[in-house]
Amino acid sequence: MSVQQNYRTGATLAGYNFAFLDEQTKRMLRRAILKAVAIPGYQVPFGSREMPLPYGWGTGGMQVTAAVIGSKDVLKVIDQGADDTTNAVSIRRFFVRMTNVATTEKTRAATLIQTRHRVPEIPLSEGQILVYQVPIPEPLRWLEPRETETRKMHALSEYGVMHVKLYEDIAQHGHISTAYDYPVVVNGRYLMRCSPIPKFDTPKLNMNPALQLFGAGREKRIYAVPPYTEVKPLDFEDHPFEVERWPESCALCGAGDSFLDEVILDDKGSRMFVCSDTDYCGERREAGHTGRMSAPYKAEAAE
Amino acid sequence: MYVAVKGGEAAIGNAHQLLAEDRRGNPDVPELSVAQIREQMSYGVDRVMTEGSVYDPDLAALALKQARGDQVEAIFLLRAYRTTLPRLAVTRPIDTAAMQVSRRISSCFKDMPGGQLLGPTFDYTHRLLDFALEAEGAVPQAEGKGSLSDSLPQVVDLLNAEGLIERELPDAEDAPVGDLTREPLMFPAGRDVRLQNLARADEGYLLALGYSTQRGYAKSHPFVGEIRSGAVAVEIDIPELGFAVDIGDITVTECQMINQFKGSKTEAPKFTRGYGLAFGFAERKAMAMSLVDRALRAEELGEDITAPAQDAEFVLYHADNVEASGFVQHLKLPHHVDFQAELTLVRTMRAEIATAQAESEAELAEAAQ
Amino acid sequence: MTMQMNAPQTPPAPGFDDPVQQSQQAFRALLDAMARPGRVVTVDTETGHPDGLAPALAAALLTLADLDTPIWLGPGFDTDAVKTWLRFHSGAPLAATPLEAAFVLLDGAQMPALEIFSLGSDEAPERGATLLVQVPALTGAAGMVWRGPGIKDSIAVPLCGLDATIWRRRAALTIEFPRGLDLYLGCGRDLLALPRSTMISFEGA
Repeated sequence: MSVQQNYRTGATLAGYNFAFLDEQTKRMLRRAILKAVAIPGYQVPFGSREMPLPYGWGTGGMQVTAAVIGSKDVLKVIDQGADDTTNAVSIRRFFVRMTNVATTEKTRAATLIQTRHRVPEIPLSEGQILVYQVPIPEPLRWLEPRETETRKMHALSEYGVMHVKLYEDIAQHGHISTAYDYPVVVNGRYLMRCSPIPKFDTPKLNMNPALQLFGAGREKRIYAVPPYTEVKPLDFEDHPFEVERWPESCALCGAGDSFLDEVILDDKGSRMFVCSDTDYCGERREAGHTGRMSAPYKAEAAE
Repeated sequence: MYVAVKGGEAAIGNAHQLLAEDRRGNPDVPELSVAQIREQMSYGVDRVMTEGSVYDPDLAALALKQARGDQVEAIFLLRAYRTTLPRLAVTRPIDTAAMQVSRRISSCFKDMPGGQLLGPTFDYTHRLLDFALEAEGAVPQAEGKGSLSDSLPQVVDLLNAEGLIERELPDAEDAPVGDLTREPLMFPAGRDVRLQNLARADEGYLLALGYSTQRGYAKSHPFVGEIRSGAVAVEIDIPELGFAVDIGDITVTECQMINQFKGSKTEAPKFTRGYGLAFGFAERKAMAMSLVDRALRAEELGEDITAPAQDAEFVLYHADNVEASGFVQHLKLPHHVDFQAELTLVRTMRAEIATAQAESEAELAEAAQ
Repeated sequence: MTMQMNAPQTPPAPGFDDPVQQSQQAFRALLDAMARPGRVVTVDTETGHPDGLAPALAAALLTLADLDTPIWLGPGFDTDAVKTWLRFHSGAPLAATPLEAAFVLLDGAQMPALEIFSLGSDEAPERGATLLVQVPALTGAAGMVWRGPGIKDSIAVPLCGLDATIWRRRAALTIEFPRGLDLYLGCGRDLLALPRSTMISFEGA
């Protein structure tokens, strides 16, 4: 059974409203989310609340999830692509305590996915909602620390500084030296930060059938990419956008098309590469795919 | 299978148990009660209430106990609890002129109407560890508890008679007041929002910023117009009754800092004010806050903005220790996906440089032959 | 909720029985509609509503309106029954002018000029108003083709009983983007959304 149903139906943690937030806060969030969807890529300011988890640990994503989630949802929470990293476990536990919704580790079975730093490998479908935890929503922040200035730059679509920055990268390094959090333009209008996902995941935002919502709690901004919306990485004709590739494939499932985590095996520099997306890797191994270090599983699967 | 940074439920559960055991410390030592913290660690409680934005000494003491004395953690606990509370009413502005004063000093005048009262202060203690406190049981008794009239004019207002100080007139009764707990900070930020931000701001941060204004980072020539601490009544309007009802007293510390202002083409030289207010006895906080408040008025007063403490975006965006602590500490969450992306990029770039170097060396070698 | 000292003679029409769950369900319908412009979504939670107001739009107001959102009631909805219901369930104040309204409730047969409502500013486009427009139908012969975010390729949309000039005026607002108005058209329990990002064309429909 891929979906874990929580049988204490209806009973959430005593003394707290469904999904923790009070209804007025949810209304404020819901209004902000609708405006964010109506203005793709624009960062809507909202009255972020203190959550019982620290700022910087997913409070924006959690507030968006809390405003959206209903008792029929099936929730998946990932951090670095994995469902069982500690912060993902902690956030999932929070929502189970506060809503009793069903949870899953299966990308396909989830209606609502909260993520930090990754977009799942398995393509999302219509009707799914992906909620990103965002630390710094402003794509121009490293180039211009003042909010009053960046707000004007967005109003005027003045994104020349970002082009200059990327161009200087090329001049200096021969490359655009941005490996994650790659700047994109949404629907031909707003420069947007895709939260720090690796460059590898950036193309997945483009024309995605799912609704993508972004929450930055500490910085108090919500933004969105509706389904089937153009999301274009900034690049140059002679230096087109490219994703990173690995010379290796996943040591466990053999995947050559997924984002790989590098695992150091000893102090002599030996290492292995494994899928960062644990659900994708598991699904492939279940289907009989093997990698060079999946010995016991391989023996079973191969016969 | 190797699992990176994946402890899951079990690891978290174990961590919570260890934390609880560690918090209690040696069980042979009697446990601290919340009441003991409230009564004997009261300055710590005051700070948690001020920066936690909740006036409740018991809850603040509980938060300090739970946080093992970690102030920022206790402030966070109180804030997270505050979020879940309904808003029942909005109080009338407190009237600090009607304060029941336990302490009142001014550095501007030798004496003033109503008098000065030193009150319970560390100020003139010699900072020598008092080993007598290691023994328990003694209950100190103060003689000569002074008291002042419970309606004392603000010292700064005494300067009003000559028009020497700017007047601060209250807004209209129904004028909107910003609330950062419900709306995001936007710029330009009004003084209401700035003061709320500073009242919730980290004391250490304000102290450093206020200090910087005294060392030339902003042209500041401050005098303590007045510091007063004591109890003030909190009232709420009951529309059905047609009058305000006193719902209790809170203790606050207020600081009015006086600053010189050179004047401009249209205005004669006069004194201006910086304002600080904190729950409980929190004089350092109130003083630092008043210095920073004044520095942030640079734009309004037509002064050049040259120093960090005058830069509203810088000061206000980084003042909140719950935000700052969370974001600094989030760096310990796994970032291996981003790091992997960087690693791949750096390796690619190094490989390209190595190839380019090898090529140019080969060319040089060829040329030499 | 604000208590009224002088209670109205007629009790207000009911709202949600279970505001927490029902507003969540209604919000998901509203979100789904806004994310997929032109697609008809059914708000399938039971909603009390004043006579004459479509349950889908009543649910939208119960879900989104409160003390922080001034509402402007257009001709046809500027009635005691609607005002009492709105005040009782949401506490939302009535906007003094159309320009101040966060939400606007309109009858499609009596549409004012769209430009009287706030489009927001280039620096704060989210302040553009949300219009809830009651229409006689959401089906019928296609009158327009919509394109834009949320729409795979394009979608044919009927005129929904609105005068063609309204559609042309809305189409003309596109150049103001990111300033603009976001619309929900409601009929019975169904609604569809028209966010400001949608491009409307009339040829080929």
